Amino acid sequence: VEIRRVDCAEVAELASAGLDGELGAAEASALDAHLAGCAGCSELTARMEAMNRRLRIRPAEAVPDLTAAIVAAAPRRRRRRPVMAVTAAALAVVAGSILAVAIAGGPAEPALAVAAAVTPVPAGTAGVAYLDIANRGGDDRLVGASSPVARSIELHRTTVDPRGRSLMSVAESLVCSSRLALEPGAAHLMLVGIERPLSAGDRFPLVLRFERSGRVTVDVDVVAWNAFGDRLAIRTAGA
Amino acid sequence: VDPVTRAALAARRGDRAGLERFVALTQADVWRLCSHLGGGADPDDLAQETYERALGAIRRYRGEASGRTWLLGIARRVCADHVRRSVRGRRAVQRAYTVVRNDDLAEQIALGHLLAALDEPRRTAFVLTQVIGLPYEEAARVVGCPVGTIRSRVARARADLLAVLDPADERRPTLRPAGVGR
Repeated sequence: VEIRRVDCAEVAELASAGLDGELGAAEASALDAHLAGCAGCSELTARMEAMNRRLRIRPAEAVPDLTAAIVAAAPRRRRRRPVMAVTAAALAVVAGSILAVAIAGGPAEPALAVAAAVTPVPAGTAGVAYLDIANRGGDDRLVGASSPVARSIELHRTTVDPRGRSLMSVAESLVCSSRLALEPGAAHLMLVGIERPLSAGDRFPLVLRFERSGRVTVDVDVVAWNAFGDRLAIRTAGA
Repeated sequence: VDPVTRAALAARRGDRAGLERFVALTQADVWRLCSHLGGGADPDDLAQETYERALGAIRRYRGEASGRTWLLGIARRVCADHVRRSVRGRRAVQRAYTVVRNDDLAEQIALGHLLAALDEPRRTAFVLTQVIGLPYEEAARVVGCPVGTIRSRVARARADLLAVLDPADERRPTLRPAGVGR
């Protein structure tokens, strides 16, 4: 078998492919043979390897989870149960309040219904709130939230990267097309600086700010963590 | 058949759960590609547009290419269209990176800037193979070029990055503004 000869001009490409595991056995041994006799190319290859390690040890970029928004915006072929039915199911199960903001006007106006707003009992001065927003009108965006019980409230998204790590990032806004579900694994409101202790059974007001619909006030139920799990299961099954 | 392709075919039949699985399995890669190739536009918007186009055309998807390859090809075209539209009067948008609770944010942003300075074909090849981690063969299918082209573009991208990150080399840095030359 004739051994392929490699000249210096080819080394960068072969070494690069080698780093990616994209080199055939014949090319790999031809490259090795060249490197064994060429100090300049060996040095180039070593620098390339070092840079590759440096780039690879960087953390995976944090990526927002847009799944809910994309699926909500996807065209429907079959009619699903109308959103109101979902909301009604949630209402039947969840003692929390429902607030419907129906704005008269063209079909492009958002028509929001917020349901199932809950906060599991906060462990310290920070807590999370989950809720479910149905929108029967045009697109809207959740741009912020506030409450007298917390110093500030952030919008958080959770993403799982390909290696299975959960990444949490602060979102400037969250798209609310036909539905925006703030639920574990997707997104939540982060209550920062909770001044007074909250316990199961408490209820507090939460103001949601939407780009188009403006301010929407809902009551949030404080629930025990185990009760929270049950509600979640019911909600998932109902929706 | 891989899970993404299976989910795409289910979505094509109108299966809502399949659609959700398809989006959940692919959206991180689509977003990453859009954040690097979208010319500084909001990757959220570009990703949304990618899925709008993809889901609008999903009836024509027959599983010849893998679901991921097919979708990333669409994402790439969405980004290219956007860059073309915004070449004039481009706003200096730097929203490609969300605020992240992560100590390595500065590193990530630095990498983003480095990649942004690469020529578009090299950047695309580098992002597909190194950031998203596709094999050369699949990256070539996304771009619609021979495998050898991906191989040489990745190597050139590495050489460009090396000239900046490790300027032990006597050569002048080869980074040029994005979109110039090959």
